[in-house]
Amino acid sequence: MEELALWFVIAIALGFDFVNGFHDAANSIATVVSTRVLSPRYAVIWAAAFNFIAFLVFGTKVASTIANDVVNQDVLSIGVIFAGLIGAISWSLFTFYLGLPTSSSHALIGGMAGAAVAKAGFSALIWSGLKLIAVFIVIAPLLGLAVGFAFMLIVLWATHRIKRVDLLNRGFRRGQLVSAAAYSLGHGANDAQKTMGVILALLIAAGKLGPNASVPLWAVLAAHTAIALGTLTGGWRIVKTMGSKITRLQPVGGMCAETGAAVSLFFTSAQGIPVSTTHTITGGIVGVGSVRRISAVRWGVARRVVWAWVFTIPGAALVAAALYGLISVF
Amino acid sequence: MDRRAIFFLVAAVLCAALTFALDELQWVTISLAILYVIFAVLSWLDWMGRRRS
Repeated sequence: MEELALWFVIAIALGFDFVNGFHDAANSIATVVSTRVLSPRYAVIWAAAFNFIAFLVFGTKVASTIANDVVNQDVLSIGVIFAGLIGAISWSLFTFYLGLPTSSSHALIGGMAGAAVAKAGFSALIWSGLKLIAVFIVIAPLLGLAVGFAFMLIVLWATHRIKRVDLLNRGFRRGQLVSAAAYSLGHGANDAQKTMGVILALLIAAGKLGPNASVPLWAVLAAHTAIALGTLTGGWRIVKTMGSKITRLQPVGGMCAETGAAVSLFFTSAQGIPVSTTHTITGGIVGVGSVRRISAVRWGVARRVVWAWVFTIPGAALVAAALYGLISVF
Repeated sequence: MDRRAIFFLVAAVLCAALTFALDELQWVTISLAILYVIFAVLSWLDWMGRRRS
């Protein structure tokens, strides 16, 4: 029976990864689509391909953080992870319905933490790990913003004497293909690893693996396949919000925004810190918009996004805690 | 008033403040804080230049 429950929850974790691709990965193609570098169909294929091959480039440090540094392993059980996942999926779908680009990643961390607290109280949480994640909720978009802004300044300065705008735009469009690929690579690395972390935690909780085990190859491949399939399915409402409502982007802006976000994702993935891809691309877009003038950024939408971030962890935690309370009755 | 410079200064203060919450990787927040101060100065200089012209 426990074996069946284990595989059932692993299937839900992969479902969460699919929803993550559907909900979050759309951000990786937002700028390419809004600047008309690629049609939506080719953009999702491009992003999904780089999502999938991310496992060849990055290790599994983010997965280890999810499995070892959020909730005490003694508290982790199949029931806790199940409630955490359902809490995260419910919250992600709710915000997707509202058209808000919130973070599935933080929903997952909130969900796991909420279910663990419902089981064993606040002592179940690893505060040092949660503190690092909480700080990088703010730092990841600020890093994306700074790199996006600086890169945009450098590119504009380097090209300001060139009079052939059509030639420049052609170059920037090609550059955007590379920056979109880099961003999708970073997205695949950071987000797919969260699911690997959940699967690793499940296997440890079920006694299939030891406490310091690394992620099995089948879990790596399954997580990358699920997120790539989610990206292929797409989430167009959120593409619209990220790509055109925050600030109007030209190909050069799209390229710089994605580069800023990619740098932030590469760095955090290498350090093993789970961050939100939505946060980083928002930072990149705001940074690029700020080069023109601060009023070029539509702060109303950006503010709405920030409020959604604030509510994500507590919202998913509450849903997961309530669900854990419910299933523990049975 | 240069609103962009103020925005960058707020970001710098935020990064500097978050340094105290970290047990590791403090160099990231400190470097970002310095970078945002530089951005604020550049933005203010740009704003002053535009005002004069």
